Amino acid sequence: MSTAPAASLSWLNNRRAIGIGAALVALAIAAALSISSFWRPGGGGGGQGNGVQSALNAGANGVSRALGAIQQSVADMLAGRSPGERAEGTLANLKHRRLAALHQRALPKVRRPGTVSPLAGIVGAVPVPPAQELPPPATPLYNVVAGGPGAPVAAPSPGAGPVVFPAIPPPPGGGGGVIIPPPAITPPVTPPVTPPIVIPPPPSGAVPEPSTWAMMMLGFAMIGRALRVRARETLHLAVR
Amino acid sequence: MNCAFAALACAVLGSMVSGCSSKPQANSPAAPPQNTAISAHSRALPPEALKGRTLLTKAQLDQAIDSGTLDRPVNSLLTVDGPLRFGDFVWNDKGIPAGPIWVRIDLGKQLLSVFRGGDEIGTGVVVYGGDNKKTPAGKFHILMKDRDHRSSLYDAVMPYTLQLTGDGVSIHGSTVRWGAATHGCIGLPLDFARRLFEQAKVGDEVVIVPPAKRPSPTA
Repeated sequence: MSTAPAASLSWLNNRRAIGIGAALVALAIAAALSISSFWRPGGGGGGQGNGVQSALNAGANGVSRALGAIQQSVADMLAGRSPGERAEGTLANLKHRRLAALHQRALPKVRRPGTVSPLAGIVGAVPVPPAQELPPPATPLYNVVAGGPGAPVAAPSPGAGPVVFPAIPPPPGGGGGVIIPPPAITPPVTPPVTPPIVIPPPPSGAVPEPSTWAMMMLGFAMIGRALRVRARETLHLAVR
Repeated sequence: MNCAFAALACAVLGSMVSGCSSKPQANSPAAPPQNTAISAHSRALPPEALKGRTLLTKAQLDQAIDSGTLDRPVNSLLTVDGPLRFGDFVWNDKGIPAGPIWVRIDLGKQLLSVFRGGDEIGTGVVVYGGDNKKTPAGKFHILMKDRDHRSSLYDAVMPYTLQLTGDGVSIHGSTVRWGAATHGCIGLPLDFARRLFEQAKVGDEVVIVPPAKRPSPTA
């Protein structure tokens, strides 16, 4: 007798619990759907709006704006990635010294062909006489052999009497005089100079040798590397 | 039983409320659920483009335009974790459709941002003109591109030059380090300058935002 009311009561309790659970689930679903619609400003429903929908859309826009104010602004997002504002003073100075030192080079000597030497005035003050041709010598310097009986030269004879100068022709019997012919002057004998034997270089071909090619390419490679290194250093230092 | 009726009523109301937003959901299956208040262009981005990218809400965009931070609609910014260091940059144009670019340079924040069709595809730290050689502010157009430029005025190499003004103010690759200043140009990290040079065309717009005025020490 007492079990039947108890069973009906428990069944009633189960019905109530199921109803409450269903209501909660339905409320949760409805809340989720309505919130998702509030997050979509403008609605996008397009054409089928009635009074309720327009009111919901207006409310969605207001909620979106309110939430946007809470969200991070674009300026804050940009400021968050920034390394910071540049400080005044030390950071604003431009750098000249390192670049100026980088470009200091020794200049080559300047040679101007039109310049006049400072010594030109001193040298030009003294007149230089023009070169004169020397007269030909009156007597040949050499290769003249004076001799023969027709050209006697008196010479003192040793042991003779008083020396008589000159006696041309000498008196006969005046002592034996010796006529010494002048020695013959012969030109110095120079050994024949043979010109040096010049071997003409072999004619170069139109195509350079492989070694020449290799040397030229090596040179170009070195020049290119030097330019690249210099450009890299300049780039590293150049902040313009 | 009353609770069951209440549940049914809530369910019916919920279905009515959700009906107004069913169509946009059907049109944008790839849109992320956390960023639903976005423009139609952003919803068209492929899913791979959304990685590493922060989509702006309409409220954020309105606030940015009202405050002068932006001068045109922007759909998304690159997500950058923490402040960038000198010489750092971020480049991500995956999934962003091709199109003309524009460049925004914020001198105060020392940042350059490259946008393509409203989406940011690159950002990095820059150096700019010193106090005696200030970088001009305003809107410019790229006048000339030169990959291997050498300045005749300063006898310095300026790779990936994008010339902005007739007197030579340009965007070019440079050494970006703390404490550096330029003679008016915008200096970028070399790799960043190369990527920007490949994207930019003559005539593209460059907006240089001046730094905020410092309060004078006498005031």
